[in-house]
Amino acid sequence: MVHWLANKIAQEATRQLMDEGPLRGELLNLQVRLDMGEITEEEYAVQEKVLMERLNAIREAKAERGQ
Amino acid sequence: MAEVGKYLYCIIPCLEERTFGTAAMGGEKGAVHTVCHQGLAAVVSDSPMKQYESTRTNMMAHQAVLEAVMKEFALLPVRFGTVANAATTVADIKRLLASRYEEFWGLLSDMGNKVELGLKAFWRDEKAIFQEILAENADIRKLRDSLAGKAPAAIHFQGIPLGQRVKEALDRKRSQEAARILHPLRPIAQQVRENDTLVDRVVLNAAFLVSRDREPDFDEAVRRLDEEMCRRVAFKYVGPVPPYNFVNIVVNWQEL
Repeated sequence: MVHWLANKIAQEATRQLMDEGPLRGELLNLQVRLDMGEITEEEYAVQEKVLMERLNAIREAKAERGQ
Repeated sequence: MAEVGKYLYCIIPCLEERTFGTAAMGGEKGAVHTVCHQGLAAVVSDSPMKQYESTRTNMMAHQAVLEAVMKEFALLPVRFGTVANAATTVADIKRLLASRYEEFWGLLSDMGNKVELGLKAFWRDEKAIFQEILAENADIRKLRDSLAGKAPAAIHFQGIPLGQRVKEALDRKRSQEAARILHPLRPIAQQVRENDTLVDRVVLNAAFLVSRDREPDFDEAVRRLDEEMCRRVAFKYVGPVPPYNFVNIVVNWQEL
């Protein structure tokens, strides 16, 4: 039972790590904040870089797993 | 170092070999230039052959070229990041123009006297919108009140239907307000494309294909909407831009 639970937790953790959805959501939000003038182009670029790197890491991990 | 290939920006009606004084993708020195075939031309540059990430910087660099070209020509945008592989030569690009000659001319004559205008609308105050939703929906108020003072676990499970109701109410409100914005604009435009809003406070994200001679009318209609709605909604109006939302040329080099 404990083993099963540990497995489930590990699976869920992997699923969350491999989920592009929230990152895409953050990118869209960032775009809206730029459109609304709440952040500058420079701030946008800095945050976009962080998000893109995380997205790329997910894509590479997926490619390695052959998904 | 990535190999250099031909980065493809757009298709234009142009008889002559020429260059455009604008920076190429990938920071290469080579000029943005045309490859011509019987009155049609592809606008290309020598750029690194790689996967171009759709970052804002890259998209803006791509767009800057299209905007420079647009000052002189009607154009058909080619999908962002299209680079002909190293084996592809100028002859292949001419073959592309030849094999889709009719299609390209058809689209060009269709787009020739039209411009794309973009309009986004955002709710200025998301909290106020949520308050409105509470005020307008007794069932949502009841659900919310039933959760007050409950344990976090109970809120977790019972909060799900509440979240769903709020989302549905928000979607209804959004489509009503989007419809109000679109109402005076639709008759002026030749085509309208509504993109998914995806973010809660976005009311509308739409592109309009408008005849050049109707552009002032459209500007005026947007100005009036802004006047009427500006306390509640912030607008972002851009254009004219290349008709990205209505034409997107996808090239399959293998099929040429």
